[in-house]
Amino acid sequence: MQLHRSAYFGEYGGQFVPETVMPALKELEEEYYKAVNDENFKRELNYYLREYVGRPTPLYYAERLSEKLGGARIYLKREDLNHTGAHKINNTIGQALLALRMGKTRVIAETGAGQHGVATATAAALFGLQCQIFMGEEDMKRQELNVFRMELLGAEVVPVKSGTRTLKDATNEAIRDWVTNVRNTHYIIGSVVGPHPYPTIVRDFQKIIGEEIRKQFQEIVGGCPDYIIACVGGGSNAMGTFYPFIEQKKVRLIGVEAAGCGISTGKHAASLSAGSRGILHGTLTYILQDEFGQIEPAHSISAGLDYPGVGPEHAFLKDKGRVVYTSVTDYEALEAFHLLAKTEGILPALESAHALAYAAKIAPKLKEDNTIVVTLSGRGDKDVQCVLEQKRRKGN
Amino acid sequence: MKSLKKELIPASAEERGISRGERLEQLFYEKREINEKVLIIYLCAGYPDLDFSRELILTAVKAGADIIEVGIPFSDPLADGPAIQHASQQALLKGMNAAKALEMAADIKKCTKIPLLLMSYYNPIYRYGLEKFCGDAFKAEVDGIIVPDLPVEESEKLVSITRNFGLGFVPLVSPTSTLERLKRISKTALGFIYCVSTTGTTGSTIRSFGDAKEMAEKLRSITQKPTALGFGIEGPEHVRMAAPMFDGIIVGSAVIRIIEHFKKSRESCFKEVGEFISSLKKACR
Repeated sequence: MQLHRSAYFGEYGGQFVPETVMPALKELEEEYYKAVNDENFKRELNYYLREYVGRPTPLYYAERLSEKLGGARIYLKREDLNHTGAHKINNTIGQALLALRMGKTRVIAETGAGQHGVATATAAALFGLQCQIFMGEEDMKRQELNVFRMELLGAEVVPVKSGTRTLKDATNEAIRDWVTNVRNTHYIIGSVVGPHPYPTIVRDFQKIIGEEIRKQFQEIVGGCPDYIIACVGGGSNAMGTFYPFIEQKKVRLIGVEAAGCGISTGKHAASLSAGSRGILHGTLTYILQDEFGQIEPAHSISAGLDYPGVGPEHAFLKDKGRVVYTSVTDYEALEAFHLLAKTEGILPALESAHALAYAAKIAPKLKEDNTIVVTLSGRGDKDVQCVLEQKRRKGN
Repeated sequence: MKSLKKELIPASAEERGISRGERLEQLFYEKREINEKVLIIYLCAGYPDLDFSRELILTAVKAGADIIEVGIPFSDPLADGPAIQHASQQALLKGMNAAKALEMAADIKKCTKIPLLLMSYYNPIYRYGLEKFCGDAFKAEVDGIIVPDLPVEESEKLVSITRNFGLGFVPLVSPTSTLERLKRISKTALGFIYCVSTTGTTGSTIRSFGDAKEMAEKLRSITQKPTALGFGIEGPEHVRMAAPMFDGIIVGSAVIRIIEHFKKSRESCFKEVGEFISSLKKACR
């Protein structure tokens, strides 16, 4: 049995958390490696992913979008078609099953826009676990319907009033709760962030996205795509998308961060493109911070990307040069949102719209026999209100 | 009169040929001899403001604190409960940071010989530079360092740098720590071992001292190093309950709450904080 795989990706990662939860991280690590080598666990996970989540999700050729842009052919990995409308559930089902194996009766999670909260509440309802979701008070106002959705699923949503009252502080509060109730509680982190072994576990539960892309692309087109593009906040859909392609050196992998109002304005969430090395939420990675190491608030129109850190494996892949990280602004993401709606009849999540916006930038410069896969990490129903407000603000 | 006793400890530990970390440890052994507990008071640098917090430290010294733990505020203090979170935020708004906290420590050390510990989350230290931080702490006459989010798996580098400077290093142990972990952690300690009373954040309610007792017994079985109990110590009653099991007591949130309540008037704030600390001190004897 493999016991301790490296807690690091190069120099990034690690376990910078209070001692109280260290034994729980050890337990989680051990249980996780036992589970992934257990045929029963794999069978059970696959059963729920297929019959409950609705996997595999399609790899859809966006013909009208490709024609409109002119140039490369664009394929969409439709994670928006998962149960609950985003990729988040791939991870929450897996972690809820781990919680059951560890004999924990209660799960907690942080959430920004509410997608991970909904996915956690869903898994908790499915497996009969007690569930509390920590959500910034600001975000609760912005995402009122998702709050209600979680409550309908039987979860309790705890308003977080500290700090910036957004995802960063919801994560702090979830960690504080875990430190307090660690004996009966499993903390379901929603992205490839946090202390080891979370970045590895969440990546592994999300890598099904990339594995399906490989298989489906081979069947539909043959070979591998030239470009694969995914949005990066904490970076779970991107990590899950990229991971099975890391060794396929010919495939260009592009992670798109949120440039918010523009990197130069300082109001953005581009930790990799414009941040520096530091420790946030238990992991050493690229973060947004001031000269004294205080964490700076992030900004993005998309609540799911509005986070001042990023998964440590992304930091590693950036330094290695295996993945290229770039960013697009709120405005560009909104344009891409409208573009996909009108050409394909799909409302993408504003997070995913960032990846689309970058695809729209490069597609016209490429040839018709070039292919781009964009991971559509979630659907945009949750963002309709936000897009409406943007439109009104513009005065038309 | 109590503060006179402290004058007996030499200004510079190096004069006696021992490091500051060792001197810190020595203080606990001396108290053990006379069957007294070491009282450690946490205060947040820059809260309610820079000058006020400096005065509060001197107040705590006068009232009988044996060691002061000066907290460098951090934007995301995930081991702290509401009281210290709030204090940290206020201090940051007043412009406090690691560099200013080091300056403040140096200032304090000009007025009193009391052992001073700096408490900081890891990121501000990492950003400052580990070597530079410890070097500047050494120059500021600081006696030791506490980092609440640096478990033994990650502390090797900082421990070795603090040792080079002769600074104390105070690791945390928790009721969830296994015996194996306690052994590993206690080896890194120079000064004392910070025992967290209960699973939770600072200022949590201690439901029972059972966890603390078990932890103390486990530690006794593996090390002679001094131990101090912190997190959720509300007053003299708690001090008396913890006293038979530990060499020292750490009080933070309870003091911060008093400051928050009386901060509008400095005089009454000093008076209340002073009286509270005196009452803790009595319970230490």
